Amino acid sequence: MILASSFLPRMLRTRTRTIFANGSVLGAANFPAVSAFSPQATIDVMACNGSLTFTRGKRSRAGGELQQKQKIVNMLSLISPRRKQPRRIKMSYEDLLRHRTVHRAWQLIVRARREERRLELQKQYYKMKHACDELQKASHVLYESAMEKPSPIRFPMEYRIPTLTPPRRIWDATWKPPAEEKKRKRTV
Amino acid sequence: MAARPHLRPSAGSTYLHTLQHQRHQALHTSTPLSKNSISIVHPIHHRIRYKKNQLQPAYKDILQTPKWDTQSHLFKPQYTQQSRLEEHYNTTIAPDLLLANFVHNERVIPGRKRQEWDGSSQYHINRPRRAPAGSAVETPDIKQRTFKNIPRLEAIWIHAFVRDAVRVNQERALPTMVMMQQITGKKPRPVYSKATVMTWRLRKNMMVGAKVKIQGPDMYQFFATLVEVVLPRIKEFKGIENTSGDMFGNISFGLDPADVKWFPEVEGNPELWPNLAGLHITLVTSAQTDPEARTMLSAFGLPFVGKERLHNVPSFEALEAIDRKKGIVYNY
Repeated sequence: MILASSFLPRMLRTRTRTIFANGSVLGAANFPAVSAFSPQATIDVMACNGSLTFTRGKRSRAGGELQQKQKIVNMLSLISPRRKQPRRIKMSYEDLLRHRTVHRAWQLIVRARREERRLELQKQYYKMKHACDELQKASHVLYESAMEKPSPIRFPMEYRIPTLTPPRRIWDATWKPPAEEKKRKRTV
Repeated sequence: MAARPHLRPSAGSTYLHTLQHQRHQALHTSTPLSKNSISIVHPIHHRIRYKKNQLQPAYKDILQTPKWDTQSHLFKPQYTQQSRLEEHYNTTIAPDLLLANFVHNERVIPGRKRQEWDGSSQYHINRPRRAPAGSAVETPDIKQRTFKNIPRLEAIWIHAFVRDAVRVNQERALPTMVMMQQITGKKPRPVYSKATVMTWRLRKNMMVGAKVKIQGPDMYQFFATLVEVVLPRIKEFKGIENTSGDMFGNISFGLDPADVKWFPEVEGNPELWPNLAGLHITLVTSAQTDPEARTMLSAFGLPFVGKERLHNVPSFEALEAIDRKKGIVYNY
């Protein structure tokens, strides 16, 4: 089984290389002519379920180097999609009909929710616009005061994103808005 | 008309010649039509490349079912659970952002565009336009902020450069690549060096890092982990610099190698991750300016520190003058 390093831009050739027990590669040119990770090279590692196979029964003297190569093979197999494709879903005709019906119903619900949100935002925008138009006609001073905006605009840190379960401390009765920090000279 | 196969063209494939319907066309010569003459319409051959092998009946199920069909081998179920951050954005943040960013009677703020020649010389005709004033490239106009263009998080790019891949061995880039896959759920692509610099022992086309782009529910999941788990654990982290940004709504920041280990996937088994590189994280938003992007990101709990860098906005009078030149009049 060939371990495909599919992150290389060029398609693999079918030529394979064998790694001996001592870690040397059969037929490999020396660095830097052939590097395992250059885009022009082909890296074909004989691997069987992520482990190395040995073509000759030599005992390894440098066991550490072999372990290192094993680690690299493991990492490459993690990245590669080899043997990780999920099984194809096979459905009977009735199951297919059920799936399609449910899927369509859900898509309709999602669409309705999206439309509802869009309409809400549209209404909000036009209400704000009309309110500002009316205020401008009514009072110039109030209008100018209303048009002032803080700079920069930041949402408070206490603006918590909802979670499935409540927080450990549900309500803090002693909370006070943080006081504005004085301008400090940067020491770093 | 011959059937058109809906397949991507590829090299080394045959050509399919399709024939148009024969239309009644006058001959290009001026000979009159007599009883014994016929009108010959030359067919127009359209060449479509296709792989004939792929059209065999055995491949009909595999190749001709679309990706979204459950019967396809490429089917991937999506939206199996609620995307917490996305729902929060749609429900709470978007209406608040609409209010926060609202500017009454807003004018379009023009960006820097290529300049036309004034025509004082005859040689100005068909001459290419000049570079924009005050900028090397054209900058986009700042459009009016409405309910249609509320800033949202579009994508996150994660990029890692592994220095040991240059100094020691290209294999050193792999652990970081695997780590990126674990924290994002997407397969990263390798990054190769583009130049040779002898002083740094760098050669062209060396694998020196990896990058990955995440969008949609994956992106919101990663962002939630980052903001709620990783960043609070970093010592000496007060927030992202307010000066960070590319002027048009994309915010970048980095994580040190020591910070990366606070991701749950790495923290759970630290012995598996001995040598990790830091990450560059770029948040791509649909905001038109950096301050808008920061406002939006602060709603997710991302803190910012430092002096705010505001987008340079021309004065009201300057904008009015520009509009008057174009003939646009605002009636208040």
